[in-house]
Amino acid sequence: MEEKEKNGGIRRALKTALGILILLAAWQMAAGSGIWSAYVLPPPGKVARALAGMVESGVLLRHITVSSRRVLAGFSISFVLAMAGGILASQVSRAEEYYGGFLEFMRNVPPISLIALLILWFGIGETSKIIIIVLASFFPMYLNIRKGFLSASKMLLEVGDVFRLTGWQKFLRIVLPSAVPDILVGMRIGLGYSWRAIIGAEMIAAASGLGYLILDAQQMSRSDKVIAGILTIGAVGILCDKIFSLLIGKVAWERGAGDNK
Amino acid sequence: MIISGLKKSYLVSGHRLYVLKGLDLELADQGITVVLGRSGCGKTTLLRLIAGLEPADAGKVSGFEPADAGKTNDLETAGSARSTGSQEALPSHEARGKETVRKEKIGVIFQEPRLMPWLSVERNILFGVKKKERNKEKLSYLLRLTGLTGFEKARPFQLSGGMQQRVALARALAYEPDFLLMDEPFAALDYFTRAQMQQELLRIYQTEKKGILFVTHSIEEALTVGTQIVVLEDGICKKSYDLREAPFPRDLLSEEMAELKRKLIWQIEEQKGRN
Ligand SMILES: Nc1ncnc2c1ncn2[C@@H]1O[C@H](COP(=O)(O)OP(=O)(O)O)[C@@H](O)[C@H]1O
Ligand SMILES: [Mg+2]
Repeated sequence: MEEKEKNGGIRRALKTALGILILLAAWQMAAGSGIWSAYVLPPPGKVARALAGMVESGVLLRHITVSSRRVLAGFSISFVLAMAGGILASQVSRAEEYYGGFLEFMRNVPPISLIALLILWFGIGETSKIIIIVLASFFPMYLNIRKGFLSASKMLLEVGDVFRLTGWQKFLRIVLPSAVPDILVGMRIGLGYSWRAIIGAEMIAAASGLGYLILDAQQMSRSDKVIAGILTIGAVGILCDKIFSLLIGKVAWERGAGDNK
Repeated sequence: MIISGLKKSYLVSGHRLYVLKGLDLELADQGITVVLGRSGCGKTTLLRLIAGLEPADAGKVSGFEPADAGKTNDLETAGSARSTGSQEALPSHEARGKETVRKEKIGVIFQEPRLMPWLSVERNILFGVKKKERNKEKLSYLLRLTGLTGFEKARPFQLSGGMQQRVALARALAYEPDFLLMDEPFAALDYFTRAQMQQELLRIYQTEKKGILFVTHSIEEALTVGTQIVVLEDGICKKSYDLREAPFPRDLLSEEMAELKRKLIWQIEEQKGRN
C-alpha cells in the first residue's frame, strides 16, 4: 500500500518533469528558429544565465525577501479582517446586512484601479503597496472563512445546547473547529492571490521586490530578466501553496482518512 | 418529572400540523420509560421539548431546568408558579441566574451519534464535563462501561456506527445527568449490535440507576428495556403499561411478554386502520 503510494508519487513527479522538459525544448526550438528576435523571445539559456547571475549576486534573494515581507504583511492583515468579518457574520445576526453591500461592491473593483487614490491618500510608501495586496486577497479569504463559520452543523450546536454551553463556549468549541478546514482553504487561496498582487503593489514606486524586478527589467528591455522574475514568482507561489496544502492535510478529519491531495 | 398539557404544532407548507395535543406523562426518577409509537407520531418532538431544544406551544415540563433556558420562555408557564409535588418549583425565566437555580441535568442521546469529528473518542466523551471535573478514573470507568477501552485516541470516523453510538452514550453519562433522554439510539444498528447495546443499556441502568426516557418505534425494544411502556398516539399518551415487576433480562417469548406484545401490536395497528 505505502509502496504503491510512493511509486505513484515518483511517477507523478516524472510526468511533471517530462512536461516541463517538453515545454523547455519547444521554447528552445522556437527561440532558435530565428522567427523572433532574442529580445522578443530570449532562449532558455539566456534566462538561466540571468537567473544565475542574480542568484550569485544575492539580488534575487533580496527581491524575494522584500516581496515576501509585503505579501506576508498584506496577507496577515487580510486574514485578520476576514476572520473578524466571518465571525461577525456568523455570530451577530444581521450584522452582515450592514456591510455586505459595501463588500460586494469592493469585491467587484479591481485593486489596481485604486492605485491613483491610494498614492494620493497614503503616499508611495509601504502602506499603499500593502493595501493593494490586502484588497486582492481579502475577498477570496473572507468568502471561504465566512462559509466555514456559517456552516457549523445545527446538530452539533444542539449538542452544545444540551450541555448548556454559553454562546461563546459554543463558538469556541463547536463553530471554530468546524470552520478550520474552510479557514485553511481560504488562507491557501488568499496567499495565492497575495502573491499574484505583488506586481500591482510594486507598480507603486518600489525600489526592490520581485514585481519591481520585472517592471525594471521591462524598462531596460531585458526580457530575459522579466522571464526570470516571472519564474521566481511562480516558484515562490508554488512553495507557499505546498506548505499550506501540507497543513490542510493535517486536519484530515473532514474527509475521513488522511488523503491529502 | 411531570409533563402536562404539552402541545406542539408546526407550520408545514401553510398548514398547521398538530403533533402533540396536550400530552400528559409522568416519568419515574428511576426507571426506563419507553415511549412507543409509529414513526412520525411525534416522539422526537416530545424529546426535543423536554430537552428544551424547542419551545412548546403550551403545557409544562417540570422537575428540571431545560437545556436552553432562553428559548423556553414561550412555555405558557414561564413565570407562573409551578409546584410539582415533592419537587420544588422550576424557577421562572427571570430568576434563572447563576445563583440559587437548581440545576437538574438532562443528558440527551440523539438518533445520530453527533460526535465532534475533530475530537478523539476520549475528548468527545468529556465534551460536556467541565475542565476541572475531568479525571482519569471517570474516563476509564466510562470506557470500560461502554466497551471502548483501547479506542480513546481514535477519531469518530475510524469507528463503526455502533461504537459511535456508544461514545455518544458515554458522553451523555460523563455529564452525570439526573435524567437521560434517548431518541431511538439503536435504530440505525444491525440486529446483533442493537441487542448487545440494549443489554449494555440495562447494565448501565442497573449500575447508575437513572431516570431514562427511551423513545422507540420497536415493540421488541420497548419490551426488552422498559420498566414502563407508554404508547404515543394522536398527539397524546394513549396507554401506559407498568412493567416494574418484570425482571431483566426479559424473555420476550414468555407468555406474559407475548401477550403484552400482542396487545401493543393490536393497539398500534388499530391506529393505522383509522388513518
Ligand atoms: N421542524 C419541523 N417542521 C415541520 N414539521 C416537523 C418538524 N419536526 C417534526 N415535524 C413533523 O412532526 C411530526 C412528528 O415528527 P417526529 O417528532 O420527528 O416523529 P417521530 O420522531 O415520532 O418519528 C412529523 O409529521 C414531522 O413531519
Ligand atoms: Mg424520530
